[in-house]
Amino acid sequence: MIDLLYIALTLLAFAALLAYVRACALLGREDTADSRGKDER
Amino acid sequence: MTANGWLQILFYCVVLLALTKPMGIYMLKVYDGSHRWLGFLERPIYRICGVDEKEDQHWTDYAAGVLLFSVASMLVTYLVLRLQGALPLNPERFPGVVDRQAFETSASFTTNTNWQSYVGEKTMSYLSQMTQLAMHNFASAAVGISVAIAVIRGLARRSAGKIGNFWVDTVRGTLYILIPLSIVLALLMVQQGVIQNFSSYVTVKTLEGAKQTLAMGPVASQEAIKQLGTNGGGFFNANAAHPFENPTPWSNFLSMIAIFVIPAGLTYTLGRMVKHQRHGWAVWATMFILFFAGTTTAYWAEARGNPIHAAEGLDIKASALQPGGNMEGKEVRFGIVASALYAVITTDASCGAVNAMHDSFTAIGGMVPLVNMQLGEVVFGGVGAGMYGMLLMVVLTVFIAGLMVGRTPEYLGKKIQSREIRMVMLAVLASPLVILVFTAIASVAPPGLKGLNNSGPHGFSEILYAYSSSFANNGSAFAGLTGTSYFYNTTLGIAMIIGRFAVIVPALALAGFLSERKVVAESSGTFPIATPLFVGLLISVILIVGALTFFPALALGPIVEHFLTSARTLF
Repeated sequence: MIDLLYIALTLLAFAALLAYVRACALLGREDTADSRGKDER
Repeated sequence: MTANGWLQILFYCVVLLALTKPMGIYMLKVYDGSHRWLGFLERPIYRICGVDEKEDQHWTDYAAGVLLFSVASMLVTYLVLRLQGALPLNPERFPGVVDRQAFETSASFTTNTNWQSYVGEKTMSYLSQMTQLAMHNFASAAVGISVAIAVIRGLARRSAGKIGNFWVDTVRGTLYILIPLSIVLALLMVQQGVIQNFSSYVTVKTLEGAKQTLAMGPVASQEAIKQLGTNGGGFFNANAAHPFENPTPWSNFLSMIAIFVIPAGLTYTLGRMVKHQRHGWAVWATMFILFFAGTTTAYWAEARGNPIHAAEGLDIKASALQPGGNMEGKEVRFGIVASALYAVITTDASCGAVNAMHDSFTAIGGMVPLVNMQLGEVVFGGVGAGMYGMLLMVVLTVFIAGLMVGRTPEYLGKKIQSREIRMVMLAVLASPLVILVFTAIASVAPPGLKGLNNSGPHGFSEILYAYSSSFANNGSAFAGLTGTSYFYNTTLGIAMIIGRFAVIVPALALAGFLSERKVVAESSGTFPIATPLFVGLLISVILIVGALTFFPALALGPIVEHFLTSARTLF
């Protein structure tokens, strides 16, 4: 029983990390707002 | 501190410097595919695994490869450890590893941590040691180098998020770097007296007439990759303090060089890949200055010894007849300098092998390894992990420098904007989130307090060290903490997984984002990244981020212990 819990915990942790990859990709979408420095405008 | 001690440190630094360039060039040629002298082995591996070696992966695919490879190998290790009692190569007939320790150990070796809450020679069969633990020593190290190379590619390329092929990088790192170097080092270790056999344990009669069992096994082969891959997991419980693992000052020196040789070489590889060699050396210099500062502090603290001994009138000065200082928990064949140097190296890197008991260091001496881990092990660091950790700090430094002068920061001609900084902050914030929260819980929760063997600030340091070591994927321990419980085995295992992958994912994302940026020409407003000013600023950022995050916790642990020890209070 505890073996199953540890295996489930491991799978859950890595599933969360795969979701984290997706979240980072979403966070990385280019901003539409102007984020250039003053010198470039 | 003695002249002999400083000579040993100087000799180490000179050898490390001399190896940086050749190692860096070799790794560059391995990863750009121009070194294919083992192509007759490499190509069949791709064919069998169905890998297209020409495929260039997007960073999300690269990250998914890292995660899938890691979870699969972790689960296999868990099962083998649990079932080892029914499997071959188990002459001592060890039963299956307890569930909680099997979870922690499989997490530990998958993440390059190698924290060991078990006694290796009394728990692990030869099959478990060789096919699982030693396998992870190679695989986790190769994964770390692959990620570092992928991050560097992101800086160097303009490739719409594509940063290489994870499977190809991992095979090449294992085949061309880790296996050949391990064979050479293992043979050198055997020459120094490290054992390598499959014998049953030997019972001998001691000089006092008592019976003693001497553990045997294939130690040299595991010892080599343990150091080269900055893994650190010992074949024996005493790790590199055990005379069968680390018998002589030369084996000790070789071990210390092996820990740093790949991380140091990667700084040169960085310079060559981004076509800015002076920047590579600036990163090397940053790492070296931090390493030297840590070494000096630890050596000073241990050579100075315990102030209570001095107050009691004991002679703790180094002389021809004694090493002086604090020799508690240290091997006489290594002495103070080789123990302090080893402690700094093993925690600058994510190695975690120990040749002395860090728990027995003075408060300040013990704080140095703790701080090294809390800085993110970016001082040469773990194989690959040190480089991508340092590159995150470089991006942060360039960003701060840009803010200071009101220009959009750029690094190697690529603009650093909000999405890159988001990734850096995700990686930086994971560390306090895990270390401090778990430490706080363990410091008040009954199952956490149950593991303590020391009270007061020293006990707190033991808990803080355990979570710092786990998150940083170091694996060394303040051995006073009893970590064999469901609470510690599970929470430390979770800290290891988050510490490894919650940094790798944003690092790969950063690489992907930067690879999408066009390169702009250097201008008068570009912050130079190969000057003493850059090195100084980078060191400041690393120290300030670390200090702001962990100083309050350090004040409750080793710092207050130092002052109380001076006032003759022990814990």
